Amino acid sequence: MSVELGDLTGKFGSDLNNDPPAAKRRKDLESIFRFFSILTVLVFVVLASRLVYLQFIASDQYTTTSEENRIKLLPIPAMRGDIVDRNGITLATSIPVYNAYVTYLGLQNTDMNGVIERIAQILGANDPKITPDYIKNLINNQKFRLYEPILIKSGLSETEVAMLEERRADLPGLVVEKGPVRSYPPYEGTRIAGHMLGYVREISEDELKRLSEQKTDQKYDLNDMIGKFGLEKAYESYLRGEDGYQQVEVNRTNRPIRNLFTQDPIPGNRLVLTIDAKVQKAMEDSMDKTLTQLQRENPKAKAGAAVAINVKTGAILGMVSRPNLDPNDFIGVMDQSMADYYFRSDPPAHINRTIQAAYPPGSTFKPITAMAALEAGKLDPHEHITCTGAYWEKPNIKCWQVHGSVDLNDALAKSCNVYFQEMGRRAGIDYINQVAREFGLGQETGIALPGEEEGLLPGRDWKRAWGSSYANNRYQARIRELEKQTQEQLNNAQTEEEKQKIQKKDSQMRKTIERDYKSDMNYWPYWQAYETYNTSIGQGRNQYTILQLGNYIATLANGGTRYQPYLVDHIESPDKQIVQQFNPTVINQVSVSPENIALVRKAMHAVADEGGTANYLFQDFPFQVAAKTGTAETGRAGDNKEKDYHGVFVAFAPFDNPEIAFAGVIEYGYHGGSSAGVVARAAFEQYFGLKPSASGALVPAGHVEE
Amino acid sequence: MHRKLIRNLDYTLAAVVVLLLAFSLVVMRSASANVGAEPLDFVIKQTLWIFTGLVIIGISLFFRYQTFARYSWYIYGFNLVILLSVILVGVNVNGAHRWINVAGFQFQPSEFAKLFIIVGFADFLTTRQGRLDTLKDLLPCFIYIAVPMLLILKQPDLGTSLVFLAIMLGMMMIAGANKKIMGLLTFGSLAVAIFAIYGHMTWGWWLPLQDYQIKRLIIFLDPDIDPLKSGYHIRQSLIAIGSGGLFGKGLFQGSQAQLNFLPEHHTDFIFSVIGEELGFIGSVSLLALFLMMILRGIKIALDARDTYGTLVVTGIVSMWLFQVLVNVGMTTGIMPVTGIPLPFVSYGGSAMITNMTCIGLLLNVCLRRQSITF
Repeated sequence: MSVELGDLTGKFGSDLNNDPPAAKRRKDLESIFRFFSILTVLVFVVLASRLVYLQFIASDQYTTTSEENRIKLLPIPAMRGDIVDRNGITLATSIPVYNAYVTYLGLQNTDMNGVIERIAQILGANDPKITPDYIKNLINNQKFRLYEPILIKSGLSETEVAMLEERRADLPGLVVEKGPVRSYPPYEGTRIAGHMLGYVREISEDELKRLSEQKTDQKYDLNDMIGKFGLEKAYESYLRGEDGYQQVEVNRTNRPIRNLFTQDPIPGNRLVLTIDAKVQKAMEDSMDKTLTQLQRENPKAKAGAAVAINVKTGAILGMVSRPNLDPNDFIGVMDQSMADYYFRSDPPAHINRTIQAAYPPGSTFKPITAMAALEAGKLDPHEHITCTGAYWEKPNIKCWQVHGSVDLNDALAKSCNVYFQEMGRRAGIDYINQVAREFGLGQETGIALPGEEEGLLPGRDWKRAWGSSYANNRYQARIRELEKQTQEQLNNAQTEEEKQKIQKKDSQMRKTIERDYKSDMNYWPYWQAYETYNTSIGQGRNQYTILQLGNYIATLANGGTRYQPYLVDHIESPDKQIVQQFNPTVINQVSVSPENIALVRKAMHAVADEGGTANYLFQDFPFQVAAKTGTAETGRAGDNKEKDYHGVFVAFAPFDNPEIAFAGVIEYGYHGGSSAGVVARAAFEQYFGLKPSASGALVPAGHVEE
Repeated sequence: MHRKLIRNLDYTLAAVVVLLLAFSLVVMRSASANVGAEPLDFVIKQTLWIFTGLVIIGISLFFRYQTFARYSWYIYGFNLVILLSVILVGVNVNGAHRWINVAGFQFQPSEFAKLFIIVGFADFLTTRQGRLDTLKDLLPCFIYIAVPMLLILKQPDLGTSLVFLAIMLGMMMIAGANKKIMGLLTFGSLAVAIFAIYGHMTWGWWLPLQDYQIKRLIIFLDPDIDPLKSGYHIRQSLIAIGSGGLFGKGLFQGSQAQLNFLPEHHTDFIFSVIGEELGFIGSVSLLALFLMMILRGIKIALDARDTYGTLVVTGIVSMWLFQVLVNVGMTTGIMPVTGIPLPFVSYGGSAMITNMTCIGLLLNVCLRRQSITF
């Protein structure tokens, strides 16, 4: 390419060759063309040097950027594992749906407003929320992550998918992709077990931060779904599975051109529950029916809870909470009225009332009192106590009626308050505490559901803490009040004499308050006799969750072995291998002797037998049932003491060889038997497969009446 | 045309041009693979333009190039008419009127305008030779160029207007214009332009340019300040060329070009495709071909039989040099984005025919460098 400048000596107009001015002109021209040539070479040297920089020195860096340009990882979400009942009936599943996304990179060099308008027109037809402004808002919200697809609508209908595909050419930047969404299918017409199942929602930024700090194997990204409540939360790590990804080559509109590598997602594991969908549904239906009926008597009767437990294992067979929670309501955006229903209404529906609420047990506590007195050696089952309608010790707490002379069976069957106050007095609070604790009252059961309440088993220790804090608060409040008052009076005082008077009065008052404080401290931190009487009949400060009550009855029914209640029987991998099998776990063996337990069980049988408070419930059962009703003061401010009682009910069956235990409450249900008792009956009927026979008596299904 | 003239043919130049065109077609095949509906669409059309150009070269060689000088004012007038017609009846593409439809073909008159202005201006300067010393002498020259240039700027086509300035500068320097005045004007206006743009950016001074044009002019200084919009072209072009490395990714293998990350990659940014797919070797070879072509051009200009021939060739060579500098400079991020195509390589019929006609003129001047005695 080199051209010798000396060679540039061609003839510039040969006719001028011998002309001196022309020769000078020629020389000028040569020199200026020499300059031109040097300039040309310089230009090319500059360009070539730039290429040296780009293609040698900075090449690695540009190669990386080029790869980042072209290769994208598209996550393939894993199917979340199903949750099924003990018989394989699906309670929660994942279904693939079509989602519509837009990518900003695809939109940016197009008639963006027009495209958004068209998308809104198609997707907004059945969903008035989707307007052009709504889509623009979504894009704007993601302005720092524009390379990521922006979800416009989830769960497209087939028509919508077809319409979008048809107009694909008019909709640059729109991507329609399949992805799984959680679904909770109905069982025989109703969606069951909502509170227990819980729900999933998009991970919050706080959760994301917390999980990334924990450094677990589970990696979450924004927009990922995570279990927020119930089993979905408790078994998140099993259910979730592992997202796969597709390594694709994309063009500049981010449309995949070629698949480079695919890592298949690993679906989540399947939870097989201990729940029996039939029993669960029977309990829920019966609870709904009972609530509707009770509301006619007392409009406050809107909430309730019940559990049914296998007494030989601690496996839960059914678990109901009302007002109902439908996990499907938690998919996507929740509107205001729905949010109010779950979180702000009275009573709020979100609470799982079997474990997240504590109720006064009422008379269902009496078997504990009986066992404590028996263990203390101070109860002879044949001894008769005379009920005159109120206990003879102060504060003379009343009985429901005058029961006359009653022994243990009569007393429990008729729920005599006088008898059990006396037995409580004889046993003493420490014995009662010990027995109640062994049966799991006032402690978390350890069930694998989030948010369990502890309840409260009152005793001396609790009283000491509560009483001194009460006395201290009272003292401090009075001192503050006095100081304020004195200061005011001093400010208003005219003369020195007046002030001295006020000061004197102040120091007198102080002495009084100090004296009162001392006497308070001698009284409030100490357990009082009347508190034992209250506790003995399940009133006062007693508060337990329905699951605690259920497990206490299961322990009583099986002869004294307390199991940890559980909901998951086993976990299966997608290829049906058992990942984990949950076996019954014994928490403790109660110290109450089998004989004494048997005596109390017999007394509970009397409750459901002729003359007992729950006799009418199970009269037509082909086997014997043991039960205890409870009518508990609500302890809530503003309630009417005449009629506002919670109806509590516990039972187990069959009496001679117990299989299933039940505990339930219906808020403002008044009588335990006619409220929660009805739910117990429905649970037992379904569990034992009882069907009304021709004669009206119940027989086990499949049995022909002889 | 006399047979003896053929002996004067510049075979080196002819070979360089043939290589350049072959290079262009091979790269076009790859660069346009994902652009049109038919993969060969652009290659076939470009080939058609090349053959049209060859026919024009063949025919033009039979005429003495001096003939153009005789009609220089008609050519100048015709040029103004077509440039005006673009503004009046031109086709609007992306907000610019650059094209006119004639018999089903779309022409880009600003490409032909460059050629017309060269052959006209060469005559204009020849008649003023030796009288280009004072500013008063130079002023008519500036007006001669300014009229068509402003019409092009109106389209708006900033790039081509700048090419006019380069052509004017080159030709006037060779014609013997006062070096001091020319130098002062060149560097003075460059300084004023830079200062004006700086003023526009800092204090919001008014400029006769659209905002997008100003943004494109300065974005090459730091493309990362706006990587998704005005900086996008440059960034993607740098990534393409840089990732090409020494040997390139191979034809059809350049992900930047084939996956459309690189915009306009068969026209203004075709050099980026060469850098990406053929690497340093390919892009430097192309530059070498351009350098040889321009240096051959300079030699032809120097050897021309008369001043008119010298000036015509100078105009053509100035045009090419400027276009190569600005186009390659733009794709490598050292020059503003002005939308100037790479001669002989970028896709475009008007440009190809113009450039081929220029080759014809070069050869014509070369063939007739001596008086032929019959």
